[in-house]
Amino acid sequence: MERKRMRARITEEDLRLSERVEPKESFETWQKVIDAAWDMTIVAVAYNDMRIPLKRVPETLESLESTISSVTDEKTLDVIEEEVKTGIRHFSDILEGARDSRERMDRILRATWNRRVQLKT
Amino acid sequence: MAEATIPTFMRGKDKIMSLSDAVKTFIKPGTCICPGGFSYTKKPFALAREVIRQDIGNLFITMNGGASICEFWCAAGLVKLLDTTYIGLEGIQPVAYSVRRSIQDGTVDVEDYSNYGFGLRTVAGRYGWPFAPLMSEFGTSFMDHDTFGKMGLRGKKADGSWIHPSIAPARAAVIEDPFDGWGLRPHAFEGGDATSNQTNFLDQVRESTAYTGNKGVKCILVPPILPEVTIILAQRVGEKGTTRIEGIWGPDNEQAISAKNCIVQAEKIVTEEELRAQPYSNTIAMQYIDAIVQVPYGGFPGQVPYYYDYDWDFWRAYTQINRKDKAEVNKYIRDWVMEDEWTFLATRPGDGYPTITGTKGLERLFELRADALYGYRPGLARPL
Repeated sequence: MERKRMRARITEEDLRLSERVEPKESFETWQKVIDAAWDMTIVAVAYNDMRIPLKRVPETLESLESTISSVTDEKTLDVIEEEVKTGIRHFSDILEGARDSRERMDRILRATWNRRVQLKT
Repeated sequence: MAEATIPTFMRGKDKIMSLSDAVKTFIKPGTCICPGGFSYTKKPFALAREVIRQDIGNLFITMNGGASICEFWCAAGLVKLLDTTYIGLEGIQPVAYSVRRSIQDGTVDVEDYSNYGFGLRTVAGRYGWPFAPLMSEFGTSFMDHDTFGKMGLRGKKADGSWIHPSIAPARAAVIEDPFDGWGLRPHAFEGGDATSNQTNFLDQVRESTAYTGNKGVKCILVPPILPEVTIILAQRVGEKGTTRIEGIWGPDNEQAISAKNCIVQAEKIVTEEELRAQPYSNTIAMQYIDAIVQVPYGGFPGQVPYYYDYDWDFWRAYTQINRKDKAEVNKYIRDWVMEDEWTFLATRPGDGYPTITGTKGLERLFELRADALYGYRPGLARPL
């Protein structure tokens, strides 16, 4: 129904610009909203790039794990150990950053709900 | 490193400016400006609106790829010269009406190149080539026109200086290919240009005496673009100017490097360290950027990939507005930009055109948010 209305011819009334009205929200508040939204976007775009390899990592690790029992040279074990330790360092950083952000997102959602209730009463 | 040994472009944070100061500093009446972006995508509309607010006229616009900014400037009566290719608003209005009307009524003088020819001009500008070669304008009427030449804007003055520093002494030149067509990908020509077409086109080219009177392969040379100021939009810019563009680049890199000065409108200014983590993903090096302005949502009503989509409903309505009387369109565009960018962003989105939800201002802008997985907003209504 709404889409049908949109397809209708635009009237002269529709094209009229409004008189200047003071924004209901402050510039500073919107700046903070946009700032957080843009930072989450930057991370989401970067994540999009690693989405598929990240899903692949558990499979390759599982395959590596099953190979360990057939390793014959201790130097190979050294290499595996080093690579996995590096992986732990990187993945722990990702996990820590993601967990911290995720917790804050939950807190923001709760705070938003509380503020909504306050504004209604 | 001692401060004195650091090149000027790398010192401090003095490239970061307000929108108003950046325009005031770099853009004057008659300046040759090159707007970046492509079509509705990544167009630095906040800078374009500020030029209208400051009423800087007599502009010389040189640009490749879409006319949306030029359309607003022509609507505001700020353009005098136009050096360009396609001047449409893409699917919504195949020829940008204010640009077309300004050319038809003689307000704007236009020099026209093919898209490919103009693209090569930007490449030549980027690499500092004196010219770039092409063949695709042979046989077209492009070669018969030279508006700027007829206006006496080409060449040198009596004192040896260029009549116009951003206008080349010739529109194009034709030379005989010193390599006799050797480099024209012979596999695409010899024995026919397709299995069903056994005509040896290159042989025909060698027999032609057109353009020079001599037989042989000829080549058109086009001059580089040398704008005074290029304005671009990037998602992230380092505090010293390193620029990261995500999504379609368009001609931004070439146009920024070709210009004497470049202003970048950033969605977000970040630390240089953040961008250096993946230096190969950066688009433009800091030394080519002279001013940075941070205007989140400043690309409205255009699109910034991954951040927000274009406002189709605005453009749909605008193409009704720009067909009105010229004075009325001029008044509309000046009323539309309001007195500053923040008031504009808080007020104008969703105002003066019908939308499904009827929301306005920042609320409308957030309705246009893109999905970072796609770069645009899936499901955004685009009724015709």
